[in-house]
Amino acid sequence: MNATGGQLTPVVRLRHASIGYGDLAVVRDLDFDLMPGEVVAVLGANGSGKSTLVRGILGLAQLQGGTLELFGIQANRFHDRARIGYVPQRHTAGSALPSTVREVVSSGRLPRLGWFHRLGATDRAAVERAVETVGLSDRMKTPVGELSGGQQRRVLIARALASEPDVLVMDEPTAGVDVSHQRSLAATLRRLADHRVTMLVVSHEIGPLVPMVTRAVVLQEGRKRYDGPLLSSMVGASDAVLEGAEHAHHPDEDHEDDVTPGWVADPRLGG
Amino acid sequence: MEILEFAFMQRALIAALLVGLTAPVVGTFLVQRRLALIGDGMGHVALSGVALGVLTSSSPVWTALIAAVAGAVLIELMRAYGRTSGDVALAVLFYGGIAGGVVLISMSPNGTPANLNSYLFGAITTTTTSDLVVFTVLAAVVLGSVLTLAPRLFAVSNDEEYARATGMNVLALNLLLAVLTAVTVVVSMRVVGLLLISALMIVPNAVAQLTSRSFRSTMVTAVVVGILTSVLGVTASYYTNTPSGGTIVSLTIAVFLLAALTTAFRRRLGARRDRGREYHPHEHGDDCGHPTVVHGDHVDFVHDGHRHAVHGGHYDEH
Repeated sequence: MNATGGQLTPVVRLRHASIGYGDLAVVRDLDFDLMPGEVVAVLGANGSGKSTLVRGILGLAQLQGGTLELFGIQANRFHDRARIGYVPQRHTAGSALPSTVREVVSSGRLPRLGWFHRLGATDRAAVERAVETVGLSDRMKTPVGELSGGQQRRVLIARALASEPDVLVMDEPTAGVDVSHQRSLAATLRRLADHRVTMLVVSHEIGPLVPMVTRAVVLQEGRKRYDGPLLSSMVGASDAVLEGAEHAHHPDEDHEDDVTPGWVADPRLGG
Repeated sequence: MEILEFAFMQRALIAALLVGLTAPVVGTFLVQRRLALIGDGMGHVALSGVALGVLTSSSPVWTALIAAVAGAVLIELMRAYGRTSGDVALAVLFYGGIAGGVVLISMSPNGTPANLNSYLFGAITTTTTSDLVVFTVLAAVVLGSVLTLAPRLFAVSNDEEYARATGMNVLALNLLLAVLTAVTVVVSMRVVGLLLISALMIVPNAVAQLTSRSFRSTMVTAVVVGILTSVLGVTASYYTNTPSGGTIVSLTIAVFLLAALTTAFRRRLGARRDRGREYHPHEHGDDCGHPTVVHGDHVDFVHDGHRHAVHGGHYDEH
Protein backbone atom coordinates (compact mmCIF):
# COMPACT_ATOMS: atom_id res chain seq x y z
CA MET A 1 0.00 0.00 0.00
CA ASN A 2 2.96 2.33 0.32
CA ALA A 3 4.00 3.85 -2.97
CA THR A 4 7.66 3.05 -2.53
CA GLY A 5 8.43 1.65 -5.93
CA GLY A 6 10.70 3.05 -8.62
CA GLN A 7 13.53 5.52 -8.28
CA LEU A 8 11.44 8.22 -6.62
CA THR A 9 13.04 9.97 -3.69
CA PRO A 10 10.62 10.29 -0.78
CA VAL A 11 9.69 13.87 0.09
CA VAL A 12 9.79 12.87 3.75
CA ARG A 13 11.34 9.72 5.15
CA LEU A 14 11.27 8.92 8.86
CA ARG A 15 12.94 5.83 10.32
CA HIS A 16 12.51 4.84 13.96
CA ALA A 17 11.88 8.51 14.61
CA SER A 18 11.17 9.90 18.04
CA ILE A 19 10.00 13.50 18.05
CA GLY A 20 9.21 15.74 20.96
CA TYR A 21 10.02 18.75 23.07
CA GLY A 22 12.77 18.95 25.68
CA ASP A 23 13.02 15.56 27.32
CA LEU A 24 9.54 14.48 26.31
CA ALA A 25 9.14 12.25 23.27
CA VAL A 26 5.62 12.62 21.89
CA VAL A 27 6.03 10.56 18.72
CA ARG A 28 7.94 7.31 19.18
CA ASP A 29 9.64 4.88 16.84
CA LEU A 30 7.84 6.05 13.73
CA ASP A 31 8.53 4.85 10.21
CA PHE A 32 6.89 7.01 7.59
CA ASP A 33 7.38 7.83 3.91
CA LEU A 34 5.69 10.58 1.97
CA MET A 35 6.14 10.04 -1.76
CA PRO A 36 5.86 12.70 -4.47
CA GLY A 37 2.26 13.20 -5.59
CA GLU A 38 0.75 11.64 -2.51
CA VAL A 39 -1.88 13.34 -0.38
CA VAL A 40 -1.53 11.80 3.05
CA ALA A 41 -3.89 12.50 5.92
CA VAL A 42 -2.52 12.11 9.44
CA LEU A 43 -5.33 11.25 11.80
CA GLY A 44 -5.53 10.69 15.49
CA ALA A 45 -7.12 11.82 18.71
CA ASN A 46 -5.99 14.89 20.61
CA GLY A 47 -2.55 14.20 22.03
CA SER A 48 -1.86 11.36 19.61
CA GLY A 49 1.20 13.22 18.33
CA LYS A 50 -0.03 14.16 14.87
CA SER A 51 0.83 17.85 15.20
CA THR A 52 4.17 16.94 16.76
CA LEU A 53 4.93 14.72 13.76
CA VAL A 54 4.34 17.65 11.41
CA ARG A 55 6.30 20.02 13.62
CA GLY A 56 9.17 17.57 13.71
CA ILE A 57 9.28 17.44 9.92
CA LEU A 58 9.38 21.25 9.84
CA GLY A 59 12.11 21.47 12.46
CA LEU A 60 9.79 23.05 15.04
CA ALA A 61 9.95 19.99 17.31
CA GLN A 62 13.15 18.07 17.98
CA LEU A 63 14.09 14.79 16.40
CA GLN A 64 15.24 12.87 19.45
CA GLY A 65 16.02 9.56 17.84
CA GLY A 66 15.99 7.84 14.49
CA THR A 67 16.41 9.63 11.17
CA LEU A 68 14.53 12.26 9.17
CA GLU A 69 15.29 12.82 5.51
CA LEU A 70 13.77 15.59 3.42
CA PHE A 71 14.01 15.11 -0.33
CA GLY A 72 16.70 12.50 0.32
CA ILE A 73 18.86 14.79 2.48
CA GLN A 74 19.40 14.49 6.24
CA ALA A 75 17.13 17.09 7.84
CA ASN A 76 19.92 18.92 9.69
CA ARG A 77 21.75 19.37 6.40
CA PHE A 78 18.65 20.34 4.45
CA HIS A 79 18.53 24.08 3.82
CA ASP A 80 16.20 24.41 0.85
CA ARG A 81 13.22 25.16 3.06
CA ALA A 82 11.42 26.96 0.26
CA ARG A 83 10.55 23.50 -1.09
CA ILE A 84 8.31 22.92 1.91
CA GLY A 85 5.16 25.04 2.21
CA TYR A 86 3.80 25.18 5.74
CA VAL A 87 0.23 26.06 6.66
CA PRO A 88 0.22 26.35 10.45
CA GLN A 89 -2.62 25.60 12.78
CA ARG A 90 -3.92 29.08 13.42
CA HIS A 91 -7.46 30.21 13.60
CA THR A 92 -6.68 33.54 12.03
CA ALA A 93 -4.00 35.12 9.95
CA GLY A 94 -4.61 38.46 11.64
CA SER A 95 -2.09 40.30 13.77
CA ALA A 96 -1.70 43.28 16.05
CA LEU A 97 -1.36 45.77 13.20
CA PRO A 98 -3.25 45.69 9.91
CA SER A 99 -1.50 43.85 7.10
CA THR A 100 -2.87 43.21 3.65
CA VAL A 101 -3.29 39.90 1.87
CA ARG A 102 -0.41 40.89 -0.41
CA GLU A 103 1.88 41.68 2.52
CA VAL A 104 1.19 38.41 4.32
CA VAL A 105 1.46 36.24 1.20
CA SER A 106 4.65 38.05 0.15
CA SER A 107 6.30 36.95 3.39
CA GLY A 108 5.92 33.39 2.10
CA ARG A 109 8.16 34.25 -0.83
CA LEU A 110 11.14 35.18 1.37
CA PRO A 111 12.55 31.63 1.67
CA ARG A 112 13.33 31.90 -2.04
CA LEU A 113 15.31 35.12 -1.53
CA GLY A 114 18.66 35.97 0.02
CA TRP A 115 18.92 38.00 3.22
CA PHE A 116 19.12 41.39 1.59
CA HIS A 117 17.03 40.73 -1.49
CA ARG A 118 13.69 42.32 -2.06
CA LEU A 119 10.82 40.92 -4.05
CA GLY A 120 11.39 41.35 -7.77
CA ALA A 121 8.99 41.02 -10.68
CA THR A 122 9.22 37.19 -10.71
CA ASP A 123 8.50 37.07 -6.99
CA ARG A 124 5.55 39.41 -7.24
CA ALA A 125 4.15 37.27 -10.05
CA ALA A 126 4.52 34.15 -7.88
CA VAL A 127 2.72 35.92 -5.03
CA GLU A 128 -0.10 36.92 -7.35
CA ARG A 129 -0.38 33.38 -8.72
CA ALA A 130 -0.55 31.99 -5.18
CA VAL A 131 -3.35 34.40 -4.26
CA GLU A 132 -5.16 33.57 -7.48
CA THR A 133 -4.94 29.85 -6.71
CA VAL A 134 -6.85 30.38 -3.48
CA GLY A 135 -9.35 32.66 -5.22
CA LEU A 136 -8.60 35.90 -3.40
CA SER A 137 -7.16 37.99 -6.23
CA ASP A 138 -9.73 40.73 -5.68
CA ARG A 139 -8.68 41.00 -2.02
CA MET A 140 -4.99 41.75 -2.48
CA LYS A 141 -5.23 45.07 -0.65
CA THR A 142 -7.71 43.95 1.99
CA PRO A 143 -6.42 43.76 5.57
CA VAL A 144 -6.31 40.08 6.48
CA GLY A 145 -8.19 40.78 9.70
CA GLU A 146 -11.27 41.84 7.72
CA LEU A 147 -11.57 38.48 5.97
CA SER A 148 -13.70 35.57 7.16
CA GLY A 149 -12.08 32.64 8.94
CA GLY A 150 -12.10 30.51 5.80
CA GLN A 151 -10.60 33.27 3.70
CA GLN A 152 -7.84 33.78 6.28
CA ARG A 153 -7.00 30.09 6.02
CA ARG A 154 -6.78 30.51 2.28
CA VAL A 155 -4.39 33.42 2.82
CA LEU A 156 -2.18 31.12 4.90
CA ILE A 157 -2.31 28.51 2.12
CA ALA A 158 -1.38 31.18 -0.44
CA ARG A 159 1.53 32.24 1.77
CA ALA A 160 2.77 28.64 1.74
CA LEU A 161 2.29 28.46 -2.04
CA ALA A 162 4.21 31.68 -2.67
CA SER A 163 7.57 29.93 -2.42
CA GLU A 164 6.37 27.45 -5.09
CA PRO A 165 6.95 24.49 -2.78
CA ASP A 166 7.12 20.83 -3.78
CA VAL A 167 5.14 19.76 -0.76
CA LEU A 168 2.44 21.40 1.34
CA VAL A 169 2.36 20.55 5.04
CA MET A 170 -0.91 21.58 6.64
CA ASP A 171 -1.93 21.47 10.27
CA GLU A 172 -5.72 21.42 10.66
CA PRO A 173 -6.45 23.53 7.58
CA THR A 174 -10.22 23.28 7.94
CA ALA A 175 -10.64 23.55 11.72
CA GLY A 176 -12.98 26.31 12.82
CA VAL A 177 -14.09 27.06 9.27
CA ASP A 178 -17.83 26.92 8.64
CA VAL A 179 -19.29 24.39 6.24
CA SER A 180 -19.71 26.62 3.19
CA HIS A 181 -16.17 27.94 3.53
CA GLN A 182 -14.85 24.44 4.05
CA ARG A 183 -16.16 23.61 0.61
CA SER A 184 -14.31 26.40 -1.15
CA LEU A 185 -11.22 25.59 0.93
CA ALA A 186 -11.50 21.96 -0.14
CA ALA A 187 -11.98 23.06 -3.75
CA THR A 188 -8.73 25.03 -3.48
CA LEU A 189 -6.87 22.03 -2.09
CA ARG A 190 -8.39 19.75 -4.71
CA ARG A 191 -7.09 22.06 -7.43
CA LEU A 192 -3.62 21.73 -5.92
CA ALA A 193 -3.94 17.96 -5.71
CA ASP A 194 -4.94 17.91 -9.38
CA HIS A 195 -1.64 19.64 -10.08
CA ARG A 196 0.13 16.78 -8.31
CA VAL A 197 1.22 18.90 -5.35
CA THR A 198 2.33 16.53 -2.59
CA MET A 199 0.44 17.14 0.63
CA LEU A 200 0.65 16.09 4.22
CA VAL A 201 -2.49 17.08 6.08
CA VAL A 202 -3.07 16.77 9.79
CA SER A 203 -6.75 16.99 10.47
CA HIS A 204 -9.49 16.29 12.92
CA GLU A 205 -12.12 16.92 10.29
CA ILE A 206 -10.90 15.06 7.27
CA GLY A 207 -14.38 15.32 5.73
CA PRO A 208 -13.98 18.01 3.06
CA LEU A 209 -10.60 16.61 2.01
CA VAL A 210 -11.73 13.02 1.49
CA PRO A 211 -11.87 13.03 -2.32
CA MET A 212 -8.19 13.79 -2.71
CA VAL A 213 -6.60 11.85 0.14
CA THR A 214 -4.54 8.96 -1.26
CA ARG A 215 -3.42 7.47 2.04
CA ALA A 216 -4.16 7.77 5.73
CA VAL A 217 -1.89 7.36 8.71
CA VAL A 218 -3.47 6.98 12.13
CA LEU A 219 -1.46 7.80 15.23
CA GLN A 220 -2.34 6.77 18.74
CA GLU A 221 -0.30 7.79 21.78
CA GLY A 222 2.61 8.71 19.56
CA ARG A 223 2.75 5.43 17.66
CA LYS A 224 1.55 4.53 14.21
CA ARG A 225 -1.53 2.32 14.34
CA TYR A 226 -2.56 2.31 10.72
CA ASP A 227 -1.02 3.19 7.39
CA GLY A 228 -3.05 2.58 4.27
CA PRO A 229 -6.02 3.68 2.22
CA LEU A 230 -8.50 5.99 3.86
CA LEU A 231 -11.36 3.99 5.32
CA SER A 232 -14.87 5.33 5.40
CA SER A 233 -14.93 4.69 9.14
CA MET A 234 -12.25 7.37 9.54
CA VAL A 235 -14.26 10.15 7.98
CA GLY A 236 -15.72 12.48 10.55
CA ALA A 237 -14.75 9.82 13.03
CA SER A 238 -14.83 10.35 16.73
CA ASP A 239 -11.66 9.83 18.69
CA ALA A 240 -12.97 6.45 19.77
CA VAL A 241 -13.27 5.24 16.19
CA LEU A 242 -9.78 6.48 15.36
CA GLU A 243 -8.39 4.65 18.35
CA GLY A 244 -10.06 1.54 17.03
CA ALA A 245 -8.48 1.99 13.63
CA GLU A 246 -5.71 -0.44 14.45
CA HIS A 247 -8.27 -3.18 14.02
CA ALA A 248 -9.42 -1.94 10.66
CA HIS A 249 -8.35 -3.69 7.50
CA HIS A 250 -8.80 -2.96 3.87
CA PRO A 251 -12.03 -1.30 2.94
CA ASP A 252 -14.77 -3.74 2.10
CA GLU A 253 -17.65 -2.99 -0.14
CA ASP A 254 -20.08 -3.42 2.73
CA HIS A 255 -18.36 -0.69 4.74
CA GLU A 256 -19.84 1.83 2.43
CA ASP A 257 -23.29 1.54 3.87
CA ASP A 258 -22.62 1.52 7.55
CA VAL A 259 -20.87 4.87 8.06
CA THR A 260 -22.36 8.12 6.87
CA PRO A 261 -21.04 10.64 9.31
CA GLY A 262 -22.15 14.21 8.81
CA TRP A 263 -22.55 15.75 5.43
CA VAL A 264 -19.41 14.44 3.84
CA ALA A 265 -20.35 10.96 2.68
CA ASP A 266 -18.55 10.84 -0.61
CA PRO A 267 -19.20 8.14 -3.18
CA ARG A 268 -15.53 8.14 -4.17
CA LEU A 269 -14.60 7.09 -0.69
CA GLY A 270 -13.34 3.62 0.01
CA GLY A 271 -13.42 2.64 -3.65
CA MET B 1 10.56 82.19 14.85
CA GLU B 2 12.46 83.35 17.88
CA ILE B 3 13.01 79.89 19.32
CA LEU B 4 15.12 78.92 16.33
CA GLU B 5 17.62 81.59 17.32
CA PHE B 6 18.76 79.53 20.28
CA ALA B 7 21.38 76.93 19.46
CA PHE B 8 20.09 74.56 22.14
CA MET B 9 16.62 74.71 20.57
CA GLN B 10 18.02 73.98 17.13
CA ARG B 11 19.77 70.93 18.55
CA ALA B 12 16.68 69.85 20.47
CA LEU B 13 14.49 70.17 17.36
CA ILE B 14 16.90 68.14 15.22
CA ALA B 15 17.09 65.50 17.96
CA ALA B 16 13.27 65.50 18.11
CA LEU B 17 13.11 64.98 14.37
CA LEU B 18 15.46 61.97 14.61
CA VAL B 19 13.44 60.50 17.49
CA GLY B 20 10.13 61.09 15.74
CA LEU B 21 11.47 59.32 12.68
CA THR B 22 13.15 56.27 14.24
CA ALA B 23 11.07 55.43 17.33
CA PRO B 24 7.79 54.70 15.46
CA VAL B 25 9.59 52.64 12.78
CA VAL B 26 11.09 50.30 15.36
CA GLY B 27 7.82 50.43 17.29
CA THR B 28 5.81 49.12 14.34
CA PHE B 29 7.65 45.80 14.53
CA LEU B 30 7.50 45.72 18.33
CA VAL B 31 3.72 46.19 18.29
CA GLN B 32 3.38 43.54 15.59
CA ARG B 33 5.46 41.17 17.76
CA ARG B 34 3.24 42.06 20.74
CA LEU B 35 6.26 43.31 22.64
CA ALA B 36 4.98 46.84 23.14
CA LEU B 37 6.58 47.14 26.57
CA ILE B 38 10.07 45.86 25.78
CA GLY B 39 11.35 49.36 24.93
CA ASP B 40 10.31 50.44 28.39
CA GLY B 41 12.54 47.78 29.91
CA MET B 42 15.48 48.79 27.77
CA GLY B 43 15.04 52.37 28.95
CA HIS B 44 15.34 51.09 32.52
CA VAL B 45 18.54 49.21 31.70
CA ALA B 46 19.95 52.23 29.87
CA LEU B 47 19.56 54.30 33.03
CA SER B 48 22.26 52.22 34.71
CA GLY B 49 24.49 52.99 31.75
CA VAL B 50 23.76 56.69 32.01
CA ALA B 51 24.55 56.61 35.73
CA LEU B 52 27.86 54.87 35.09
CA GLY B 53 28.69 57.60 32.61
CA VAL B 54 27.81 60.34 35.09
CA LEU B 55 29.75 58.60 37.86
CA THR B 56 32.88 58.12 35.77
CA SER B 57 32.51 61.52 34.08
CA SER B 58 32.44 59.91 30.64
CA SER B 59 29.79 60.61 28.03
CA PRO B 60 26.52 59.15 29.31
CA VAL B 61 25.33 58.58 25.72
CA TRP B 62 28.03 55.99 25.07
CA THR B 63 27.66 54.21 28.40
CA ALA B 64 23.88 54.17 27.90
CA LEU B 65 24.37 52.69 24.43
CA ILE B 66 26.60 49.92 25.79
CA ALA B 67 24.21 49.12 28.65
CA ALA B 68 21.11 49.18 26.45
CA VAL B 69 22.60 46.99 23.71
CA ALA B 70 23.96 44.50 26.27
CA GLY B 71 20.57 44.49 27.99
CA ALA B 72 18.80 43.95 24.65
CA VAL B 73 20.94 40.96 23.75
CA LEU B 74 20.47 39.49 27.23
CA ILE B 75 16.70 40.01 27.08
CA GLU B 76 16.40 38.38 23.67
CA LEU B 77 18.55 35.41 24.64
CA MET B 78 16.46 34.94 27.78
CA ARG B 79 13.33 35.02 25.66
CA ALA B 80 14.78 32.49 23.24
CA TYR B 81 16.27 30.01 25.68
CA GLY B 82 14.55 30.76 28.95
CA ARG B 83 11.49 28.80 29.99
CA THR B 84 8.81 29.93 32.41
CA SER B 85 11.28 31.87 34.54
CA GLY B 86 12.10 34.15 31.58
CA ASP B 87 9.35 36.58 32.53
CA VAL B 88 10.66 36.96 36.07
CA ALA B 89 14.24 37.23 34.83
CA LEU B 90 13.17 40.14 32.61
CA ALA B 91 11.56 41.88 35.58
CA VAL B 92 14.74 41.46 37.62
CA LEU B 93 16.80 42.94 34.80
CA PHE B 94 14.46 45.92 34.34
CA TYR B 95 14.19 46.84 38.01
CA GLY B 96 17.87 46.17 38.54
CA GLY B 97 18.56 48.63 35.74
CA ILE B 98 16.52 51.46 37.19
CA ALA B 99 17.51 50.84 40.82
CA GLY B 100 21.19 50.67 39.92
CA GLY B 101 20.82 53.85 37.88
CA VAL B 102 19.22 55.84 40.69
CA VAL B 103 21.75 54.66 43.29
CA LEU B 104 24.78 55.28 41.06
CA ILE B 105 23.63 58.77 40.08
CA SER B 106 23.09 59.78 43.70
CA MET B 107 26.61 58.56 44.51
CA SER B 108 28.20 60.66 41.81
CA PRO B 109 29.49 64.15 42.70
CA ASN B 110 27.75 65.62 39.62
CA GLY B 111 24.48 63.78 40.25
CA THR B 112 21.53 65.88 41.33
CA PRO B 113 17.84 65.09 41.43
CA ALA B 114 17.44 67.65 38.62
CA ASN B 115 19.66 65.87 36.13
CA LEU B 116 18.20 62.49 37.09
CA ASN B 117 14.84 64.00 36.18
CA SER B 118 16.12 65.20 32.83
CA TYR B 119 17.38 61.70 31.98
CA LEU B 120 14.08 60.15 33.00
CA PHE B 121 11.66 62.59 31.38
CA GLY B 122 13.70 64.48 28.82
CA ALA B 123 14.93 68.07 28.69
CA ILE B 124 15.43 70.36 25.73
CA THR B 125 18.56 72.02 27.04
CA THR B 126 20.67 68.89 27.40
CA THR B 127 21.45 67.85 23.81
CA THR B 128 25.07 68.68 22.99
CA THR B 129 26.52 69.02 19.52
CA SER B 130 28.47 65.79 19.92
CA ASP B 131 25.27 64.04 21.08
CA LEU B 132 23.62 65.21 17.91
CA VAL B 133 26.35 63.74 15.72
CA VAL B 134 26.06 60.40 17.53
CA PHE B 135 22.26 60.47 17.34
CA THR B 136 22.33 61.16 13.60
CA VAL B 137 24.67 58.25 12.92
CA LEU B 138 22.66 55.92 15.17
CA ALA B 139 19.36 56.95 13.60
CA ALA B 140 20.80 56.33 10.15
CA VAL B 141 21.95 52.86 11.24
CA VAL B 142 18.50 52.05 12.63
CA LEU B 143 16.60 53.28 9.58
CA GLY B 144 19.02 51.69 7.14
CA SER B 145 18.83 48.28 8.83
CA VAL B 146 15.09 48.35 9.21
CA LEU B 147 14.40 49.41 5.64
CA THR B 148 16.83 46.84 4.22
CA LEU B 149 15.45 43.97 6.25
CA ALA B 150 11.84 45.15 6.50
CA PRO B 151 10.32 42.13 4.67
CA ARG B 152 12.11 39.69 6.97
CA LEU B 153 11.42 41.65 10.14
CA PHE B 154 7.77 41.74 9.06
CA ALA B 155 7.69 37.96 8.51
CA VAL B 156 9.21 37.24 11.92
CA SER B 157 7.04 39.78 13.74
CA ASN B 158 3.92 38.57 11.98
CA ASP B 159 4.33 34.82 12.50
CA GLU B 160 7.49 33.72 14.25
CA GLU B 161 6.76 30.01 14.05
CA TYR B 162 6.13 30.17 10.32
CA ALA B 163 9.34 32.12 9.82
CA ARG B 164 11.24 29.44 11.72
CA ALA B 165 9.61 26.65 9.71
CA THR B 166 10.70 28.31 6.47
CA GLY B 167 14.30 28.31 7.63
CA MET B 168 14.64 31.98 8.50
CA ASN B 169 17.21 32.82 11.16
CA VAL B 170 14.61 33.93 13.69
CA LEU B 171 17.03 34.42 16.57
CA ALA B 172 19.30 36.66 14.50
CA LEU B 173 16.37 38.79 13.34
CA ASN B 174 14.97 39.06 16.87
CA LEU B 175 18.39 40.02 18.21
CA LEU B 176 18.71 42.63 15.49
CA LEU B 177 15.31 44.14 16.34
CA ALA B 178 16.23 44.16 20.04
CA VAL B 179 19.53 45.91 19.35
CA LEU B 180 17.84 48.45 17.08
CA THR B 181 15.32 49.09 19.86
CA ALA B 182 18.17 49.67 22.29
CA VAL B 183 19.87 52.06 19.88
CA THR B 184 16.60 53.95 19.45
CA VAL B 185 16.28 54.20 23.23
CA VAL B 186 19.65 55.95 23.30
CA VAL B 187 18.79 58.29 20.40
CA SER B 188 15.66 59.28 22.35
CA MET B 189 17.19 59.67 25.81
CA ARG B 190 17.91 63.40 25.66
CA VAL B 191 14.65 64.67 24.28
CA VAL B 192 12.09 62.08 25.40
CA GLY B 193 13.77 60.61 28.47
CA LEU B 194 14.37 56.99 29.41
CA LEU B 195 11.02 56.40 31.12
CA LEU B 196 8.94 57.71 28.23
CA ILE B 197 10.84 56.43 25.21
CA SER B 198 8.62 53.42 24.78
CA ALA B 199 5.58 55.68 24.42
CA LEU B 200 6.98 57.27 21.28
CA MET B 201 7.61 53.83 19.82
CA ILE B 202 4.11 52.55 20.55
CA VAL B 203 1.53 55.36 20.65
CA PRO B 204 2.11 56.65 17.07
CA ASN B 205 1.46 53.08 15.91
CA ALA B 206 -1.69 52.96 18.00
CA VAL B 207 -2.84 56.07 16.11
CA ALA B 208 -1.76 54.66 12.75
CA GLN B 209 -3.55 51.32 13.09
CA LEU B 210 -6.85 53.18 13.48
CA THR B 211 -6.59 54.70 10.03
CA SER B 212 -4.39 52.28 8.06
CA ARG B 213 -5.24 49.20 6.06
CA SER B 214 -1.74 47.87 5.46
CA PHE B 215 1.46 47.35 7.44
CA ARG B 216 3.33 49.76 5.22
CA SER B 217 0.82 52.57 5.59
CA THR B 218 0.70 51.93 9.35
CA MET B 219 4.44 52.55 9.50
CA VAL B 220 4.30 55.66 7.32
CA THR B 221 1.41 57.15 9.31
CA ALA B 222 3.17 56.36 12.60
CA VAL B 223 6.30 58.17 11.41
CA VAL B 224 4.26 61.25 10.40
CA VAL B 225 2.55 61.28 13.80
CA GLY B 226 5.89 60.70 15.55
CA ILE B 227 7.67 63.56 13.78
CA LEU B 228 4.80 66.01 14.23
CA THR B 229 4.27 65.31 17.91
CA SER B 230 7.96 65.28 18.85
CA VAL B 231 8.76 68.53 17.02
CA LEU B 232 5.61 70.24 18.32
CA GLY B 233 6.20 68.78 21.77
CA VAL B 234 9.73 70.16 21.97
CA THR B 235 8.45 73.57 20.82
CA ALA B 236 5.63 73.52 23.38
CA SER B 237 8.05 72.47 26.08
CA TYR B 238 10.07 75.65 25.42
CA TYR B 239 7.05 77.89 25.95
CA THR B 240 5.49 76.03 28.88
CA ASN B 241 8.79 75.22 30.57
CA THR B 242 7.81 71.56 30.99
CA PRO B 243 9.98 68.43 30.51
CA SER B 244 10.09 67.75 26.78
CA GLY B 245 9.46 64.00 27.06
CA GLY B 246 6.31 64.45 29.11
CA THR B 247 5.09 67.14 26.74
CA ILE B 248 5.72 65.08 23.60
CA VAL B 249 4.06 61.98 24.99
CA SER B 250 1.03 63.92 26.30
CA LEU B 251 0.63 65.41 22.84
CA THR B 252 0.92 61.99 21.18
CA ILE B 253 -1.70 60.55 23.48
CA ALA B 254 -3.99 63.51 22.77
CA VAL B 255 -3.64 62.73 19.06
CA PHE B 256 -4.46 59.09 19.78
CA LEU B 257 -7.62 59.99 21.71
CA LEU B 258 -8.70 62.35 18.95
CA ALA B 259 -8.10 59.70 16.29
CA ALA B 260 -9.92 57.04 18.31
CA LEU B 261 -12.95 59.30 18.81
CA THR B 262 -13.02 60.31 15.14
CA THR B 263 -12.78 56.70 14.02
CA ALA B 264 -15.57 55.61 16.35
CA PHE B 265 -17.75 58.49 15.16
CA ARG B 266 -17.11 57.72 11.50
CA ARG B 267 -17.85 54.04 12.03
CA ARG B 268 -21.21 54.95 13.54
CA LEU B 269 -21.99 57.21 10.61
CA GLY B 270 -20.95 54.44 8.24
CA ALA B 271 -23.11 51.91 10.02
CA ARG B 272 -26.13 54.22 9.68
CA ARG B 273 -25.50 54.74 5.98
CA ASP B 274 -25.19 51.03 5.38
CA ARG B 275 -28.46 50.13 7.05
CA GLY B 276 -30.71 48.38 4.58
CA ARG B 277 -27.89 46.48 3.01
CA GLU B 278 -27.01 43.17 4.43
CA TYR B 279 -23.45 42.46 5.50
CA HIS B 280 -22.49 39.02 6.52
CA PRO B 281 -19.30 37.05 6.50
CA HIS B 282 -20.64 34.40 4.15
CA GLU B 283 -19.44 34.72 0.60
CA HIS B 284 -21.66 33.54 -2.18
CA GLY B 285 -19.88 31.64 -4.92
CA ASP B 286 -20.09 28.76 -7.32
CA ASP B 287 -19.75 26.22 -4.60
CA CYS B 288 -21.55 27.82 -1.67
CA GLY B 289 -24.61 25.67 -2.01
CA HIS B 290 -27.13 28.50 -2.28
CA PRO B 291 -29.47 28.15 -5.28
CA THR B 292 -28.85 30.74 -7.97
CA VAL B 293 -31.28 32.72 -10.09
CA VAL B 294 -30.26 34.52 -13.25
CA HIS B 295 -31.60 38.05 -12.81
CA GLY B 296 -31.07 40.30 -15.81
CA ASP B 297 -27.35 40.84 -16.23
CA HIS B 298 -26.27 39.12 -13.00
CA VAL B 299 -26.86 36.14 -10.77
CA ASP B 300 -28.75 36.31 -7.47
CA PHE B 301 -28.15 33.81 -4.69
CA VAL B 302 -31.25 32.60 -2.90
CA HIS B 303 -30.68 33.00 0.82
CA ASP B 304 -33.31 32.37 3.50
CA GLY B 305 -36.13 33.12 1.11
CA HIS B 306 -34.73 36.34 -0.33
CA ARG B 307 -32.27 37.03 -3.09
CA HIS B 308 -28.74 38.42 -2.75
CA ALA B 309 -26.94 40.12 -5.59
CA VAL B 310 -23.21 40.79 -5.34
CA HIS B 311 -22.58 44.52 -5.39
CA GLY B 312 -19.05 45.68 -4.61
CA GLY B 313 -18.09 44.21 -1.25
CA HIS B 314 -21.65 43.48 -0.12
CA TYR B 315 -24.94 41.97 -1.19
CA ASP B 316 -27.99 43.93 -2.27
CA GLU B 317 -31.46 42.57 -1.67
CA HIS B 318 -33.23 41.86 -4.96
